[in-house]
Amino acid sequence: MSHHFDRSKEQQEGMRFGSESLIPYYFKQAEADGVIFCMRGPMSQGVVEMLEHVLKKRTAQELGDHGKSLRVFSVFVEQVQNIIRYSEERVQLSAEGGDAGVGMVIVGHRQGQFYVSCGNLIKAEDQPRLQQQLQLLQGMDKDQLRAYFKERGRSPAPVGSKGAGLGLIEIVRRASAFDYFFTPWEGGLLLFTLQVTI
Amino acid sequence: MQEKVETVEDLLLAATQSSPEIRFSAALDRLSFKGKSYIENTAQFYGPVFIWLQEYLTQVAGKMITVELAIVYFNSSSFKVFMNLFDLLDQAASSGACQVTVNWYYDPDDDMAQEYGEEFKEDLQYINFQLIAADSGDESPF
Repeated sequence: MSHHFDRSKEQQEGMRFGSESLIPYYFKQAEADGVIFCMRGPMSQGVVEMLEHVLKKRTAQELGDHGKSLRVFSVFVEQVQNIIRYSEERVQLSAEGGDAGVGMVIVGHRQGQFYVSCGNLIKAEDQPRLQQQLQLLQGMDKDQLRAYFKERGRSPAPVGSKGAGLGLIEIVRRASAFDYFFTPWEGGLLLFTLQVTI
Repeated sequence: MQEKVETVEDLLLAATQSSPEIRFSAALDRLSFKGKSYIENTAQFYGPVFIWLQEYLTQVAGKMITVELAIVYFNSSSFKVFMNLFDLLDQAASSGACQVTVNWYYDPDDDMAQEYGEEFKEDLQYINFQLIAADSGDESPF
């Protein structure tokens, strides 16, 4: 059996099971990117809690520093809770009406640094507001972020926000670097990605 | 006719992985939070806690209230909850009717918790807000 890593054909046709192992492709990629875990699907509070243990073990191992471990965990929590609240792709979790946002989270450790990369679908019309917010945060230094966090904490949650509207600011405060992308997707939607290094 | 004195029952909530242990005692004037706070729906979780608190604060004249917070990790929406909590207490203490001491415990290795403690403190005028370094040992706090 050939072990090729060009998956473009399979991606077009959908994965063929049985004739080829899925593992080599993902294994190689995950190894190169230092992936600790990767998940795509409905995100819930339960997912965050389950992965807390995995993250705790790995950050303690690599960092041995409570403060920095907590920063990694904080970025992870805020990122996943943003998917839960804001993803345009949603699934019903229970008959009582609870729903969850679908998205993807990759946490890894590469070149001595942890990263938390998240993505979810958004409406095209939500891009300008989100992009403006991220640009604003990118231009702020530590003290400005601190002041802005408090100012926003004091004011009512912004329109369209389901939390306190503080998640992105908290992420940026804990990040050593971050980047974001808007990738055109099916149905006129955009795949929003926020890649954070801690 | 004798006036009926309503007493506020204690509020006790056991800790979960993502929510703190809460022990509020009206008899002892002692409110404590211990653990982690990163529930996704903070409004739902803390709603009953604030209802209790508001009722309690109607009958605190002449009292000395101690609030203990040993929160090893909290998310950004919990920040807003704690901010509202301290504002309520600051307001209660502002008239001089009661005295409020807040003890904010933080792991000295956790710069985030210390920073947040300082951020809360600088906005409060009437509360005696203490930042207390309390080593959690080698055990990772979360």
